[in-house]
Amino acid sequence: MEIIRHLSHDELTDPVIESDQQALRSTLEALPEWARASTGQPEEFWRRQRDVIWSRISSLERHPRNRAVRRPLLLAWSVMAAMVLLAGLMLDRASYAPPPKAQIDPDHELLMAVERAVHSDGPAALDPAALLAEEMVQDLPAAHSPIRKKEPTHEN
Amino acid sequence: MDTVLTTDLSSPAAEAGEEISVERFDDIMRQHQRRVYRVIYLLVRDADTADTLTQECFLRAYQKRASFRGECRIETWILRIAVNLVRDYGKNRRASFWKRLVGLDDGETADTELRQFPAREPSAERTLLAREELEAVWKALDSLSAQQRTIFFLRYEEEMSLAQIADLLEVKVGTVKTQLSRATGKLREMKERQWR
Repeated sequence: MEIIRHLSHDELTDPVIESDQQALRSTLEALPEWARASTGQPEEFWRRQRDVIWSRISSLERHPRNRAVRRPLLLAWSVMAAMVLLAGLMLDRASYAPPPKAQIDPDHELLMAVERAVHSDGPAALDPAALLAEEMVQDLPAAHSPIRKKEPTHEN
Repeated sequence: MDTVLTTDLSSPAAEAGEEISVERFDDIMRQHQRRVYRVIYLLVRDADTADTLTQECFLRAYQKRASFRGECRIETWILRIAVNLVRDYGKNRRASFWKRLVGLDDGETADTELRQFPAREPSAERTLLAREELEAVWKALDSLSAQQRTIFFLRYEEEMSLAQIADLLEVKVGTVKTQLSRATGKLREMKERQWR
């Protein structure tokens, strides 16, 4: 029975329940009687309970905070708040409108393009020449130095 | 067990599609208050709480009566409100327990709200014996979930069919069967242990 109980297949629950019902027959049959006996109350109790319920109902209906009254008011306030919010958003958008774009001057654009080309690196083919020029510049201070290098003699 | 399965739950006050008038509501209350109280009592195990929750149940039913359009039997509708109230009550009790534990609540509020009436006179011997038997069943079902206990009592105490329970709890019949099998298994386990 334990093995069958752990199987959750729908068809298997029926025989499991049937078997349990058979085993618990006396308890299950007596259960309604136990419950009724435990909850049995005098008529006075039920009458008092109904009175309390009706008095709570009437106080709920008399109360100014009745939901039925509050609901249309709440709705009106919600609509008003939504409209104010919408208006605020629209005003906000209007004040932060983007400035108009400046007119493009073609001459200025051309000038800028030329300047960029001048400042950009030269073509790759000119790299050796640039390197040579750099070396020449590095050698230049040495040639003009007040301390003359001793020239190699060819006396021998 | 056959008598358990065939009990008719139809109610003359429950006529489908009719809006419940104030006058009719009183009849409905008279007709169902004992049953609602009994179901709640079996689930909360306290007479005063059952009384308060029964009042709350009918109060809510009255407030929502315009929304009842006869999709189900009126007693199914009322018992659904009752079962939901018990579930909420259980949640509130757990929340209150944790609040008390961390010192946010002094533990008075929930009790005073629910105990509006003094305890009644001591019960008769028969009632006491019945309560003792019920206590044993409650104890056996202690480790089950609230839903499993609800299904067990609706099936065997209220003698409702599996389909009616499924309708009331808004679950599938298969779920009801599975939960019921766990509950009966637990009770059987306890009984067998007693007999050994």
